[in-house]
Order: sequence, then C-alpha cells, then structure tokens
Amino acid sequence: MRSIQTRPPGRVFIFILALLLFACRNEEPAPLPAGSSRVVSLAPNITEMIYAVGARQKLVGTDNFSDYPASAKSLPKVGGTQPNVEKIISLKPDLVMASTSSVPPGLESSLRAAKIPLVWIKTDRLADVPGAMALVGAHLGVLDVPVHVARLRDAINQQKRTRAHPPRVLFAVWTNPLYVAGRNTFVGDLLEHCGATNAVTVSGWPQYSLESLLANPPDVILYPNLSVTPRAMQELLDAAPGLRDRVRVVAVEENVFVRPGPRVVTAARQLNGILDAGRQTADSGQP
Amino acid sequence: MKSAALILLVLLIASIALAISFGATPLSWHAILGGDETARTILFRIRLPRVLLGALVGATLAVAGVTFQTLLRNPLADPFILGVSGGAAAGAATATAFGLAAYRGVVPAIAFAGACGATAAVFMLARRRDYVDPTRLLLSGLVLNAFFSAVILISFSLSKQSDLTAALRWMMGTLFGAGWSDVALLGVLLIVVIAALAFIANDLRMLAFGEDDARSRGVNVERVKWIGFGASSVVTGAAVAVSGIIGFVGLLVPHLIRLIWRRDFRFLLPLSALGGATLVVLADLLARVAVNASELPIGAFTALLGVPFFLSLLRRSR
Repeated sequence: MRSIQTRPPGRVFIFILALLLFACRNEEPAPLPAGSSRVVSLAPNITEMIYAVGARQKLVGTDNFSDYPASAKSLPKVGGTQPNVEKIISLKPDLVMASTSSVPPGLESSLRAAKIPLVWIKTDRLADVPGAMALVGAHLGVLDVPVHVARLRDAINQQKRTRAHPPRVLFAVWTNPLYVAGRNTFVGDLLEHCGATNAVTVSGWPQYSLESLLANPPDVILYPNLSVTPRAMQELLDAAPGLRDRVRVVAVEENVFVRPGPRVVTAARQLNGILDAGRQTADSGQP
Repeated sequence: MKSAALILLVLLIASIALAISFGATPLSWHAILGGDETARTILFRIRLPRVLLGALVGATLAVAGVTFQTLLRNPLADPFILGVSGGAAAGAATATAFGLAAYRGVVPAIAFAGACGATAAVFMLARRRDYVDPTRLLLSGLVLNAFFSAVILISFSLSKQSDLTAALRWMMGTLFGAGWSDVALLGVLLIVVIAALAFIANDLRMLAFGEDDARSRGVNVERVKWIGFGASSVVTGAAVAVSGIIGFVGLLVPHLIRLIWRRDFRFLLPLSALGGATLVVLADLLARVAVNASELPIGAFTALLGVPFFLSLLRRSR
C-alpha cells in the first residue's frame, strides 16, 4: 500500500473500497496493512482528517496553513503552496499526503528521489470527503476507520434538507472583481445539500458580472470571513445599487466552509442555521 | 485627417452603442423606458460607466503610447516598457501583501504612486547633466521592470492565497466595478493631458527628425520631454489605478494608425485616442459576453482583436 505513488488515487481508492466492503461482510475486520507511522500532511483538510480518524500521534509535520485543531499549529511546518522538500525529508516521514487541488510542481519527483511515498487525496466535491477520509485512515493503518467514515457519512446525511422554497444563495469568494462558487464545486454541493439553490448557474469558480448579480439577485450572499472583509462586502453592495435592500449578507467561518474535511458537517449545520433563520424572518414578514 | 477622424469617431460611437446594447443580461429598451428599476440600474449605473471608463482607459494608453514612441523615437516604446505598469503592479502587490487591500482606495492610490514613482525614477536614471538620453531611458525602464518583477514575486510568495486575487486584479486588468467617479476622474485628467500634449504637438513632430534638428529649429527639447513624459505617465498611472494593466493598446494602436494613415504626431494624437478607446470598448464587450455569466481577462481580448489586424496590415504594407 505505502509504495503507491501514482497520481490518480483511483486504483487505491477501489482497493480500499473493496477492502471496506470485505470488512463489512465479515464478522472480523479484514487485516489492514500496518500503515505509516510518520506522516506529513500538505493540506489543512488532510490534517483535519488525520485528527478525525484518531491518528494525530503519527502526524510529524504539516503545511503552513494547517491550523486546526489548535494543536496542529505547534507541529513542524514544511511551507505553503510550495513546500520545502528538504524540510519534509528532515522530518523522516514514511508517507506524505497531498491534495490534488494544490499540486506543488516538482513535489512528486523530489519525493521519489528521496524514496518517500506520496499519496494524493482528492476532495473536489462534497461526496469525495468520506471516501478521502477512508483513504487517509487506511494509509495510516487505522483499524476502525470504517466506523469514523460511517459516522461522518451519517452526520453529513443528517444535515441534508429539502426546502419548499429553496433560497437562492451566492457564495462570494472575492469581491473585486467578484469571484463566486459555481455549480459542481465543493461549496456548490454544500449549498444544494442544505436545500438552497446556487444563485450562480455556471460551473467552477468564475469571475461573475455585476449585471448577472443584479439581474438574478440572490436571497442570501455568503462570504468567507478571512478573505473578504465586511468593508469589501459593503463596497460590492455599493457597486450593485438596490441589492442591499433585498439580500441578506452573512459572513461564514472561512476555514470551515472551504476545507473539504471532517468539518463539512459543521459547515452544513451552520449553513442550515443561516437558511432556517432566513425562512423565519421571511415568514414573519408576511402577516 | 478629417476623414480618418470621422471614420474612427463613427467606429467608436458604434462600438459604444454595441457595448451598451449587450451584456451578461439582455436588456430591452421597452423595460428601460418602461421604468424597470433593475434594468435601469444595470444600464445606467453598471454598464454605461464601465463602457465609458473602457473608452477613457483605451484612449489614455494609446495617447501615452504614441507620445512615448515619438519622444524616444523608438517604435517599441509604450507606457509599460518604461516601467509605469511595473511600478503600479509592484505598488499594488506590496500593498496587498501588507494587508492594505481591506481599505477602500488605498491599493489604487499606491498603484498610482508606484506608476508615477517609477517614471520619475526612470527619468532620473536616464538623465546626464541636463540631457535625457532616450536609449538610457529605455534601458532604465527595462531594468526597473526586472526589479519590479522581483518585488512582485516576493510579495506574492509572502501573500495569503486570498490576497493574491487582489494583486492579480492589477496584473490582469479588469473594468469590473467601474463607477461614475472613476469616469469623472480619468475623464478630466485625460482632457488636461491631451490639451498639454496638443500644446507641444508641433515640437514633438519636429523631434521626430532628431533632437539636434529640433533644437536648431528653436524647440526647447528638454521642456518637451518633461511635459510629454510627465503628462503621459500621470494619466497612465491613473488608468492603471482604475483598471489594472491592459496590455498591447499603447503599442498596437499608434502603429495601426501609422500603417493606415500618417506618421505626423499632430494627427497621431487624436486618432490614437479614438482608436485606443474603440479597441478597449470592443475588448471589454467580448470579455463580458464571451462566456455566459462569467468575465474573462480584458487584456487577452485587446491582443486577440488587435494582433491579427495589425499583422495583416503589416504584411500588406511590405
């Protein structure tokens, strides 16, 4: 298992799924590989997954952005978008985990030269998260990983809502120019999971025009609290006259909403809270 | 001259009409005249100021381009080669790396200061006693640009992912969020600058035959240089501060005009202004409507529109 280095985690993934199915069918859990004992995580959502499956004692280093849970901050840091390979090697890991959503150039070849196995974790969509956590747990030799994964899956499902009048929600990633979370993205999935309609109809993370914003006004604008300041949001509303009166603007915890990790449950719960509150005020507004 | 100006003016008006008629959302005249509040807001407070700002930015870049080319007697000169854009971008990138993007107007102000500071620095570097050497000026601009690239790279490496987007706004250029205040600011400044350049237009024309020649005909060459560089740089700095870096306009448009019509600065100045305005208005229209509900970088379209046209003219002129 540990020697697998190839980019697409597809084969590993299928193998793990087969393993899990096998484990489910039998009384006794299937013997999992011993797993790594020293791992470096190169993405905050992977770090959170490692904590969530209870393997934090195996984590010997993280990227600079991993700041949750709080104790992850005190782990050795190996760099940001371009990690320092020498620093990684000096931590003597027997496994490095990186996210497919940020691929540092040259990482794969330099780790191969150092004979350190690298595993890619893909979490582009909401549905990827439980499977990704299963993969992380399996690589770390966590025996009860199916339990953690099942619990995560249940918790995510519990937050699923269908709403009679789905509110139209726009998630503004940046305000000048306006960048938004479109369809077929992790955040887009989250909106739909909680029974909202994504006010953006295009896919991906497009730069969005003020005209479209005004012509199809959302009921709610969400913005990440670290990237976008309240002042920047005010400026956006100033630039889109008339929008202020009909839209509810809510800041959300950035690291919860944009990290496809175990805290998707928190994100979904917070989002449901926001959408439920909106429904109440809308109802009370109509006598 | 008159017919050329007339053709370009008609083209500009047609492009503006086209740019106002199309956008991310279809607007019907019926809705606008009928008092549909959303349609009116989109037309008068979002689309119209954006189109007009695009025209002003395009005119600015082309005017600055033709001035720099004439002053330096170098066909490759444009406001960006002299470090104006690099200074603006370095200013914007450093400001965002220090977290100043959160404060309204601070980053554009620093971008403007960066553009003006860069021109001043290039000018000082190129100066030998009281003579400004065009070759040294170009070289200083190139070297300073390399320095600014280094500053930008370091700022980017130190920035958070989110701040990168703010700095990229200046690198890529966009007319997103253009308001009437931007139009008024740049409009007034551009009128003053064009007036100043028109005042020295005849001197600039004579400078095209060489500095000694111009001097012997009674032209105060150094004063012409100061006014030309100063005026063009200030207005370019203002354009970059509102729209970011929109490439190719300053280089392409004056050459297009030269290929079609004449090389005389007195004609090039107004014709370039009209041509630059048309090019940017059309490029922004494409950037806005090419992909449904998304916007693309405008600089890509100024090149996409301008380059094939330019190359075909170049081939025919051989």
